[in-house]
Amino acid sequence: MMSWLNLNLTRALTLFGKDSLDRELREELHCHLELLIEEGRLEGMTYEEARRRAFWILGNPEVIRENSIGAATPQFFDHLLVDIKLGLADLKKCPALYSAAVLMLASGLVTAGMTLVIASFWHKTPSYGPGGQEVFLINHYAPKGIGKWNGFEAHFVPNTADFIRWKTGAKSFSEICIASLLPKSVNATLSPNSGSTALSASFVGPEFFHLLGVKPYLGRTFDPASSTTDWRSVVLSRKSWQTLFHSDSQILNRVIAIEGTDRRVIGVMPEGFLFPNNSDIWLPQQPSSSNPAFQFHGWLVLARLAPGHNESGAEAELNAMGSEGTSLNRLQPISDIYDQISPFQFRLLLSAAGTVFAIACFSAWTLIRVRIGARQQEFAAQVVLGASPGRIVRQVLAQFFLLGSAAWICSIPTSILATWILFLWTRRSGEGGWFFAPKLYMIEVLVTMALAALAVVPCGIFPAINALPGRSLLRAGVLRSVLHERFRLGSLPLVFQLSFAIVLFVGAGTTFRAFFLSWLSFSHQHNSATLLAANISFNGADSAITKPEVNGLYKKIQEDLASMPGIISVSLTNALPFDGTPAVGNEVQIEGSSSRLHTDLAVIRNVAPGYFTQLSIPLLQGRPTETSDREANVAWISNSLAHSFFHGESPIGRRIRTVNPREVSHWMTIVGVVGDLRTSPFSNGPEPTLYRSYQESVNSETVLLPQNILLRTTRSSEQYRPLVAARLRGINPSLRIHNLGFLPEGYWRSINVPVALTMLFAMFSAIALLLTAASVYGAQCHWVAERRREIAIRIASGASRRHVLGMGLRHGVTILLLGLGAGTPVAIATAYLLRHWLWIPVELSTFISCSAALACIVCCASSLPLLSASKIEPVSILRSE
Amino acid sequence: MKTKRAELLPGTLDFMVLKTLDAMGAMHGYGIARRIEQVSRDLLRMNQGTLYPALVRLEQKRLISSKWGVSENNRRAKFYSISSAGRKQLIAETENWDRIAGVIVRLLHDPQGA
Repeated sequence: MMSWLNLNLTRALTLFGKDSLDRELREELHCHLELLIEEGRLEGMTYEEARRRAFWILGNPEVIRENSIGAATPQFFDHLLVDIKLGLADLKKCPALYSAAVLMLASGLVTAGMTLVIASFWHKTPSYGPGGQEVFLINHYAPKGIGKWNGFEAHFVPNTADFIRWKTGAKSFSEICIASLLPKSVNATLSPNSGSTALSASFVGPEFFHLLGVKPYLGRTFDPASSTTDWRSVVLSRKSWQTLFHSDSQILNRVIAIEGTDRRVIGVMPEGFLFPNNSDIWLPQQPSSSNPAFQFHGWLVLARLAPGHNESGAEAELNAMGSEGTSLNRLQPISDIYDQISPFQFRLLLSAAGTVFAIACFSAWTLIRVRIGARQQEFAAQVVLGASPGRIVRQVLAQFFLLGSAAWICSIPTSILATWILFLWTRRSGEGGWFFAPKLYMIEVLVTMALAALAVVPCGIFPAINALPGRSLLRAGVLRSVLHERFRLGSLPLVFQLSFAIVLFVGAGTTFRAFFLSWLSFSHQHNSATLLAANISFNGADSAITKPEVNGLYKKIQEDLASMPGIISVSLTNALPFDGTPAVGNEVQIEGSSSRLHTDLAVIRNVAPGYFTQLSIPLLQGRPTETSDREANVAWISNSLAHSFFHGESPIGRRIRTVNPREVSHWMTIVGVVGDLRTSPFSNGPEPTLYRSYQESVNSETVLLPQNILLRTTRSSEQYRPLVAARLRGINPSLRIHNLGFLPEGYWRSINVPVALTMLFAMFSAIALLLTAASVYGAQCHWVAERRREIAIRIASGASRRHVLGMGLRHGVTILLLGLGAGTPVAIATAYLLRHWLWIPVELSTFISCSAALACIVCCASSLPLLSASKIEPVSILRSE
Repeated sequence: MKTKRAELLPGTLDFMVLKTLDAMGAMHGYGIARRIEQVSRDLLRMNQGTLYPALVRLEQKRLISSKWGVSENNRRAKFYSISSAGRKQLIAETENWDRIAGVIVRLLHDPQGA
């Protein structure tokens, strides 16, 4: 094997030393001839006789040299060079057509390459990855038998007691640590002379960074071995370091005041690392069961499996250690929350890009076929002169190889340009938590190169077979004739292309429609321009404020804000419906049954009077919220929850309660049923919701203070922003206001990636549309060129121009119908799959409108060559023939 | 009566070149060709030019090596010599040839016929 490799390597290298070998052979043969002439002279011949004899004995030196060099070099390369030269010569003859083919292939390559880069960015941030597959979140999941909704399996986050129990007892994990469930807005004073800045802080255990395997960009992270030495330190995100400290290289050991406590900066994390809460800073936290502030606190609990342990074994151990109520402890891969794109979305994106790439290949195939058709006479002449069919196939493949290479080279600058556009876009919308560096990604270069190679073989082989002259008695030629004449193989790439295009259009159309309708519904239903939202909390320890004080404060806030001119209504809620935070399901139960079958999952929202009116949630049964409800145990349920529990019966007067063991479960009387509220276009159903009085947040032992205020204004809410902030500060100086702004801001942030996906699908559709139109146009030009004589004879025989147009259109429509017929089942299957992601059902109208759009494009592209064909002068055509 | 000259059997030229170089030491192309003709007593019909592709092939296989030198008529000539890999190859080829030739001889001279 090695000697074979060595031999071929030597032969390949000889290609580069061909000239030197030729020179040596020339000299050697000259010497040989001289010796032979000398020999003849010694035998008494004249010089001329001796020379003739020498040539007769040796042979033609030119032929010997050629044979020797041929024996020393691989023949394949020689032939390839010749084929490439022939290919280049043909490219020069028809530059427009070949440029179009190159652009088509390049557009497919750029789409596929860029998509892969974007998808890998969303799927996993590789350079700051969580250090392998063995890092999990530990969650309590609802017991089996409780339904799933909204595409999520409802779960509860563990509390401090759970964490301590697992940390001290579980043997399946090498490390366990906590991270705050939600970000906390903190006030930071960056220097003694500067004002305070609000930052999003994540509280994490000291083992956090070590467990994730993330290395800092500057300095160090918290020391996992010590829970006390770093407790007055802070780690910054790269973004905060750049924006707040202007990338100061002396940032380490600098002291900044956070919530009045001096903390030393010990490190800066790498770019893009914002886990778990899009964090600006990370603060060390070690919960303790003796500290009442942490007693009921919910955490993200992160754990790394110990060597030799597996997921199922670890779950069994956790469940053996006990869990809350009836819930089960389960491990959730950290990628579920780390990735910004679900596996379904990831596969969807790659499939869509793959479809565009396939369409680009089919387009190029169609155009090359047009050119091959025009070169039939040339190939026939080659066969007559002794060229083998393999030689012609190789020649066409070499030409496609050239096109593939050109497309790949074109794709590189285009990719760089696209990366820059993405960079600018992501920098503008930087809240999304992903950041695109403006550079050429090696993975993209390699993938596009592999795809270009992949495109060359299948897309080149069919035009190559097509190139074989029809009169050839060779099997391939006969096969080609049979396939073309009987089965119209020539139209196959176009049929494939149209079928792929309809799948893409239906998928993109469904996604876009869902997004558009959702936004329309959101804007219309909530009249978002006049809505203002703010999150409020208190300085210092929340527990220091008594419940009566809180009650009084909320009452005062509502009354004061409502009295402001231009404010129509004020309401309070524990969680905003559009803030982008995924809703967590809680178990709820109706009175009269202890059976688990009568338990379901619902989102719990605590609301103040006016909440339903403000968000335009219709009251379907019962009565609206009233001020007197503050102390009463009353509840409202959403229509979907009512349907799930009562199956058409009236729920008014029935009693309901939560069965989450962390909350005081008391029965609440259902006094109303309200409409469902869709919080995102990218979910497969409404959230079943239980609304109760906002007082529950205050009465509850477990839920701490932060509340959200919702305001409905008479005019655009933008102008009320500073007035509301000033009024709130005036009510209580220790009141802290965060995220005062439009309600849709959070909504947009929450659907950042899905919106980008929708835009990408729309872009893919546009590319596919252009490619399809171009290849249909090219194919129709070919059809017309092949039938110029026939058309001329028909017109000369009295056929009208309309007849000629109809003849061509019939050909185009046949291909269109074949393509639609082949693509429809796949398009329906795709639309069915999309139901997992989108909340709207797939409607026939989407399918029909997408098909109609495609049909329009195909008909227009088909008609243009036919219009010119119908105007030809039959006499001139027939005379030239 | 004119002696009938034999055609060179395909694949045997490499073998003959190796044997010649093994027996005679370093030689140039002309020398090798003359030596083969001498040994065959002019019975082998061979175009001397066919030697050169064989020499290039053998050199690429590292069975022979070459060095530029000066010929007997004071011209620059390339001298070929057999390598150790070439010698091994020659031994293997000789054994193989003997075996095949033996079989053919036995087959042709067996009184029972084939």
